Amino acid sequence: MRGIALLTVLAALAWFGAQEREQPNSRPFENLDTRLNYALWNFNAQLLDDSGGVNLLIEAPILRNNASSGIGTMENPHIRIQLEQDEWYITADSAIITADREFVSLIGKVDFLRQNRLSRETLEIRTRDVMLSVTPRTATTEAEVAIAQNNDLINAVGMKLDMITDSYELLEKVRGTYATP
Amino acid sequence: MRHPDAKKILLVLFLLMWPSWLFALESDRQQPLMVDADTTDGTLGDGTAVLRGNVEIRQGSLLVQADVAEVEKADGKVHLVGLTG
Repeated sequence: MRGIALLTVLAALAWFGAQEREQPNSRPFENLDTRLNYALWNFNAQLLDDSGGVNLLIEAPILRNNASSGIGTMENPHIRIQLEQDEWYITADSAIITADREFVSLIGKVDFLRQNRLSRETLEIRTRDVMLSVTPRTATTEAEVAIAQNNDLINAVGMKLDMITDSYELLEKVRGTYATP
Repeated sequence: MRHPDAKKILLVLFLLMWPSWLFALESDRQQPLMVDADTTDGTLGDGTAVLRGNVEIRQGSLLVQADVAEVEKADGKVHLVGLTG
């Protein structure tokens, strides 16, 4: 009787041991990423609204995509954001786009140009290193900022910009010149 | 001995030493507004910009200090400045 019980235990142990050894080889491609890193030249992407109009357009001479992280990097990106009354043109030295395409980190020298679609009046913002949130159309930076419109010029450090409501916050060391009538 | 024109001299000295910033020049109106502040927020272009913290506004020979200033712009130009504090 003892012998039968011992044999049963040994058989069970042998079976579990065999299972553990087999498991890694049972699904050999499970953790293998079969996607490829790629680069796209003359990259052009459009984000459409519900009616099919272009809401946001990104162009760059080259986009490199990392397959495992899904992160894309661009050199000299040009971004155009189309709003009801205004168009924003944004340029930077380079940019990194997150995998979900919701955040664009604009790196180096970053210039914003806002143009009113009717009056063609322009407003310029010059700064560096900006985080752009795509859906809420907001931009933030901790770097020095210069906002210029007509003869007005405001300099500061740090900015939060909402392109939909046209509102802004300048966070430190505000110094500006306003033209008077 | 007291000088007979002492009062006149004192008056001239007083007028010379009177702080010039108390008088705004007529030409100040045409000068641009130079502003300094800790922070600001508002709308881009026309609308209201609120300047907060250690606000200093200079226009020509005029200097104003305040805690908060509201600068209202219309047609690309400043048409009203409100000061608080």
